[in-house]
Order: sequence, then C-alpha cells, then structure tokens
Amino acid sequence: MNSLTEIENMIARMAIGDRRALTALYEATSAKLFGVVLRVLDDRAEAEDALQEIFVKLWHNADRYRSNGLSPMTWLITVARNHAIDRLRARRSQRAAPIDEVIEVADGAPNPEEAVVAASVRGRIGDCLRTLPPDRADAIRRCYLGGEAYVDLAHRYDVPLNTIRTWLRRGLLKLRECLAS
Amino acid sequence: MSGWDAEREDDVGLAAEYVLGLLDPAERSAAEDRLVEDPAFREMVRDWTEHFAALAEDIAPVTPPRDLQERVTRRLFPDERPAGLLQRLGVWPWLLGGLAAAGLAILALGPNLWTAQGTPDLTARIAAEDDSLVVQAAFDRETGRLEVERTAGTVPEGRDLELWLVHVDDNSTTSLGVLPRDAAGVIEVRADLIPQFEDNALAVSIEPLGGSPTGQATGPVVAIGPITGL
Repeated sequence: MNSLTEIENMIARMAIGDRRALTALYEATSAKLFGVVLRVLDDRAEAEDALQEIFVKLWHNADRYRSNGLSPMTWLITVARNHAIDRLRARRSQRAAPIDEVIEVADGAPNPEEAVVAASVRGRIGDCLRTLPPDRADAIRRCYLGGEAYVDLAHRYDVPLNTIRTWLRRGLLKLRECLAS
Repeated sequence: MSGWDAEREDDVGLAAEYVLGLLDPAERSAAEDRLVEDPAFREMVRDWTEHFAALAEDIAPVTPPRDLQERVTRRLFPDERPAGLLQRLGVWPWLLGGLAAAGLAILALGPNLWTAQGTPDLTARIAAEDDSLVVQAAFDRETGRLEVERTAGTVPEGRDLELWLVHVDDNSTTSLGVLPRDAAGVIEVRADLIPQFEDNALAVSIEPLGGSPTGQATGPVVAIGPITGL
C-alpha cells in the first residue's frame, strides 16, 4: 500500500493534468474504493459504473483537494461513498438532496498540522460505536454505508418519525464524546 | 453557559447529519452556507468526515474488472487512442522500417513453415529484441490462413500470447487472436483484415488467459516484426 504522502502527491499531480498520476492513483486505490462502492450498492454492474464515474470525478476535482483539509484517503473514500449513496437513493427513487459534493473547507494553504490532527481522529470510531446502544450504532452505520434516511430509521427501529431525529442525535453526541475523549 | 453548550451540541449533531446525508434540501443548503462562514462548524464537519470514512476503511478491497481503468481513460480522453503498441515498444520501431525495407526477415524463416501449403504470400518473423521469443508467420491471402510457429520462447504460465496486426502508419492495432499454446498452429484471419496485411507488422503481447479483455493490448508487448512479401 502506498503511503498517504504518495497518494497526496498523486492527487496533486492529477490537479495539474498528469495522466500518469491518474493511472498510479487508480492502481493504488481502485480496489479499496470498489470495495466501498460495492458494499453500498450491492450490485456489481452498478458498482462498476459508479467507480468509473468516481475516477472521472476525482480527475476533475483533484485541484480542489488541497484546500479541504481532509486526509487523502478520507477524501477519496468520501467522494466514492457519496457518489454511491446518491446512486443508491436514485435507485430507490428517494427524493433527497444530492450529497455528492465533498465539502470544501477552504482554509487557504494546506496545513501539515491539520493533516496530523485529521489522521489522529481516525481509527477510534469502531471502538466508540461499541459504547453506544446497539440500535443506535447500527443506525449510524446504516446511514453512512446504506444511505438510509430518517424515515427509513423510524420504520426500522419503530421510533415515531417526529422523535427519530432526537433519538439518533443522542447517539451521535455520545459518539462524539467518546471520539473526543 | 448551558445555552452555549446546547448550541454547540446542536451544531455537532447538524454537522454529523450533514456528513451522513440526513438533511433535507433546505437544511443542507443552510448548512453549506454555514460551512463558508463558520470555521468552527467547518471543523466539526471535517472531523465527522474523517471519522465516518474510517468506517469504510475496514471494508475489504475488491479488485475491479480489468477493463474498468480503460473505460475511465476512454471516458476522460475520448479523442486519444490507447497508447499504441509502437509507443510502448521504445526503441523497437526502427526495426520495422529497417527490416521491411531490406526484406531481411525472409532469410530467417524456417523452411518447414510452408511446405504443406506451397508458397505463402506474406511472411513475418515476430521476435523479441533478444530473440528470447520468436514466432514465424506465413500468410496465404487467398484463404486467410495465417500459419504460426513459435520457434523460440514459451507461453507464460497462466497467461496467453496474443497476436496483433499493427498498422504502421497510425500505430493502431487489431487483434488476430490468441496464439496456440502448442508450438505451431493456424489462425484464420477475418476477411476484412486480409487486405491490411501488406506493409504492416505483427506483434505479440502477454495477456490474461483468453486474450485482452479490452480489444487493445493490456500487457507488455514482447515481440514484433514487419510483414514482408516474397
């Protein structure tokens, strides 16, 4: 596996139109991203189309990566996941706001300190989810990897629609507390 | 103090909902405005994005199908043909011009290649630079029969050798099929390709079993030779 710095370099070179960098990024990350997209869409043909579109998107948006303060794998995974979720929702013909755009938290020049912080916040979410009530943890996973909306959660966990948001938020805040500790 | 905390908690929840994609269109657009103006909110969104992406990092990688990369390239750069065989060959193209002009390749042909069929119209010696792989080819324009005989080298384990017709003028290639695993065999050439043999070249690349899935060489080009008339 390539180091994060190498991946970051590939993205930077893509931003200036270096097609070899696209090839390198594809070789380094396509299996990882395909795994994610396949998990979300659970349909091989659709996942293939999605992955193709994702790399097209990564090529076009590479110049916007540096300003968003995300670690490189997070950026790639988020682009892939959001694209797959939008496709999944279109398939279910849900009317939802597209979430395709990855945030651009433009703070100007990339900041190495931020990248370190970004890397240090990872890796604990699995442990922290285990500290939540199981239905809450399950619901959060379903939102992230299954694209479920509040109406789906209300139905699934048998919580009234007008309180489902409070129900989930309580879980999210507890999660946040654990992640911050 | 508690008011501030409640507000902050609200924002933490909102940031998570934004990242998870739980907001309705109006809320989402309001959150996007906040992102532009509010560094603290921006940081919350960034942190959630990192945390949730870590959930996806546990998912096992799955290798996508071989031709997908090619599909991406074709989609992004539709006007360009895939890297031509000759471009990938580096120093070899001189062989084509040089040998074709001199007609030297004919001398190297094994005599047993066409005894059964009489005299072939066109021949080629498709060879690696160091002759570690040599394929002799003899083509009968009338019947479209292309007799091939591997006189040096082996077919790599778990791979096939694929034979390509190379159009010298524009580097484009057309597959003629996978070479037989036996040393010698016959490839039937499609009728529309028969007129294209003259003055062009043949090349061999290493491909997955069954041949390139894309219609273009995907593996290394290991041998090439000009097609010459007798």
